[in-house]
Amino acid sequence: MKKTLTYLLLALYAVFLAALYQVVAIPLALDFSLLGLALLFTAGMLGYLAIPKVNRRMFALLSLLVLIASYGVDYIYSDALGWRFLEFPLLFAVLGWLAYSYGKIRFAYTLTVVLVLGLTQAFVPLNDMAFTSNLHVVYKSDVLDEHSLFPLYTIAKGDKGTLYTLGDLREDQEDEELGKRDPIKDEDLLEQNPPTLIERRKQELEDMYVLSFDPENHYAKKTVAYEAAHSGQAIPFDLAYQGLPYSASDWSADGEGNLKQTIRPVDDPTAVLYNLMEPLTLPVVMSERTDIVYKTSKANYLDLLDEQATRFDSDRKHTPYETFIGYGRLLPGAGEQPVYEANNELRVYDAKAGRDGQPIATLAGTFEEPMTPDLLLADINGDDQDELLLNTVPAKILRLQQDGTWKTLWISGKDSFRFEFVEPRDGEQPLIVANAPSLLRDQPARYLTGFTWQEQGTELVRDWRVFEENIVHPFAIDQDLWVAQIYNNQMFYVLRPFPYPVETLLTALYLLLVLGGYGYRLTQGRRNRHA
Amino acid sequence: MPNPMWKKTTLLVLSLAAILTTNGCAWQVNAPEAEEVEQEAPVQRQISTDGWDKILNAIEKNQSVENFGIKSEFLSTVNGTSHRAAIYGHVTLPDQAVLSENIDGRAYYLFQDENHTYWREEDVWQEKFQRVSIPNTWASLERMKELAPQKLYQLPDAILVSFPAEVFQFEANAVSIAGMPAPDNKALPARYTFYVDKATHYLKRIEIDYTDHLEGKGTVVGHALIDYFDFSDESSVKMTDELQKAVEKLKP
Repeated sequence: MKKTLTYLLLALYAVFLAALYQVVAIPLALDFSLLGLALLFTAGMLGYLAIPKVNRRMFALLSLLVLIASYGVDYIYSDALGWRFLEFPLLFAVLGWLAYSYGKIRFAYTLTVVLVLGLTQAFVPLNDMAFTSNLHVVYKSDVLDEHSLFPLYTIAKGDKGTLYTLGDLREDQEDEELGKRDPIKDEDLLEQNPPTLIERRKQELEDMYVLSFDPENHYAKKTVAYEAAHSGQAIPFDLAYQGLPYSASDWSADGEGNLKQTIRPVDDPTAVLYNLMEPLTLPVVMSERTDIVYKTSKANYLDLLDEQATRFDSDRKHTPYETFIGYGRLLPGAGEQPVYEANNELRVYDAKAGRDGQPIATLAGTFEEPMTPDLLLADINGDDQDELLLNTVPAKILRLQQDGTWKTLWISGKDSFRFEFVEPRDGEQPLIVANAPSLLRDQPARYLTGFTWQEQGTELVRDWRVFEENIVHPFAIDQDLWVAQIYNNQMFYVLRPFPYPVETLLTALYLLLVLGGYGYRLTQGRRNRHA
Repeated sequence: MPNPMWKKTTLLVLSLAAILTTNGCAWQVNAPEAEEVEQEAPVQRQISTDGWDKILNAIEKNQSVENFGIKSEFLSTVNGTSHRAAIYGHVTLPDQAVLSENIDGRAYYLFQDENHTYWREEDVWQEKFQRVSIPNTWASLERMKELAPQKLYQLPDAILVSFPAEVFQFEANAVSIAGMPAPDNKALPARYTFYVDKATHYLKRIEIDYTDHLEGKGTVVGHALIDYFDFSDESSVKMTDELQKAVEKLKP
């Protein structure tokens, strides 16, 4: 009975320590640099001293064993299933022998540690622990394109919450089996007919399927049928212009009627080469190229939609000189003001008069801090009035005053800080989700962070932070349901914020254990003296 | 009689734990604000009176350079995403060149000596039987002479590689500088920065920042950086080993 309890406690301790290390210890060092390390060392020493003297060495070695084993298991899981059968016994044998010969730790203990960590890894991978401590992964897509044209494809939300993006549906190999790919090998073609090889490679890179992910069907990956897109299933226009400023989009049906999108350069690479050697005309030439790409993509998109074209056009209010950004309740009791962007200038119009009147407020950018559409109009303090969150370098929060001037509420002290989205919450301050860099380390690496705004003292107060780098373009598709991508990795996550503060719980548990240890030592000490 | 050592340690641990737990509840981490962080001083610029002539003289001087290296990079930011196009290599005027090119992540390579033109695309070399025209980058700059002098600023000297250079800056509509219209007759506010080598008086770098408006997408930001280097009497347009091997394979 006592034996079983020992093994159970050991198993629990192994999971606890591995999680503590990933969720609390590493982030502490990432965020607070040397200070974090000093804090970790102190906390570690406190823990070490809390253990009764006779057990200290054994306990420390056991903890070390857990941490080493957790990484060993993680490495093994990155290999194919077949290899794991070989690697797990090997890991156990090596660690077990080391632990036994150095620390007199029983093989059965090592086995327990390796087994329980292996089991944990199957549910929560070690690498994802810091990530999943704050976010629950509702859906994680496969890698959607092995040979992608861009570091990321746009993910856009369509009707009924369906997500759309681009990718290869089948692997190249399968295509060969299906007889879809020309059976001549690349090497042979290189000798016989280089231009054909170039064309083939271009096509493989530029042709993609439009993929849809239906939330009702647990985000099952599907191609879109060309006919469906043609006659009503409106794929979002956001997919159309991702080739800007060099490549335009076009759509066609493959042999089976699936919708294919082709993103192809609008002109020869030697034309761009030529332009890059003539500095004085470069801005105008590039402006023209961008314009052509946008207009070509839009025309092709309207062709695809067919009769929907009129609906699409009336939805938009852009002109060549002003782009509609959105509506903002920027002044109290003045309704929703339409906000437009001209060249390097934001324009707020009156809610009633709209663009028939003069702008009620403008905000011009500079060459250092241009006014791009990389901004949010959102209520950050729950007073039903929107603020302007600008992703300039550095990022800023501004509030419109009655007299049409802007009051700067906050300027980021870190250049790489950027706002992603704001989510209103019932009975709580809105959640401001940002990509924010480490507090002390001088590194631009950003981590997804949730903030709330504190009106008094004008501070962004951190709620939580996820220690996974390169989470980009997160956006909310529903209340507490977000989409995010990992840079340079053609996949995406659907996430839900996790309601439990895992980080705090783990820290508290650690403190309790340490305190318990001292309490135990204290009572033991007394007993020994009275004996 | 309790052990005094024990008492001390316990007290220390308890107080530390108390601090951690009480602070842990009220622990508030704020995103750093600009006022809490040391800021870099903004670049000081002064009005220049003789800079325009220095730029024109430098452009004139560059006309005689036949062999040079060029690195030209253009960064365009649309809707928060940046796209890069760049060339790097050497040119011998009028039309010999060895240049690598990258457009939005896709690589190309041009080699053109007196007799042959080779072009690499999707990792495949080909011989081209029509020569690629290489613009005379110096001649394209001569338009500066036709322009009315702009209000010019001088910035603190910069070091390019290891040579000090004088830095001049002006702002103008890129449309009038280019002498050609932009789509929809838009204006393109731009800022030009010219770097003139202090010792040799050659033009060594041009930097251009501009903003554009794209219908439906808002402000597009453009940044160009063109470096000229390796000015010499001898041509640097030579075949690389990789090309040599590829050319041998190409021969029938």
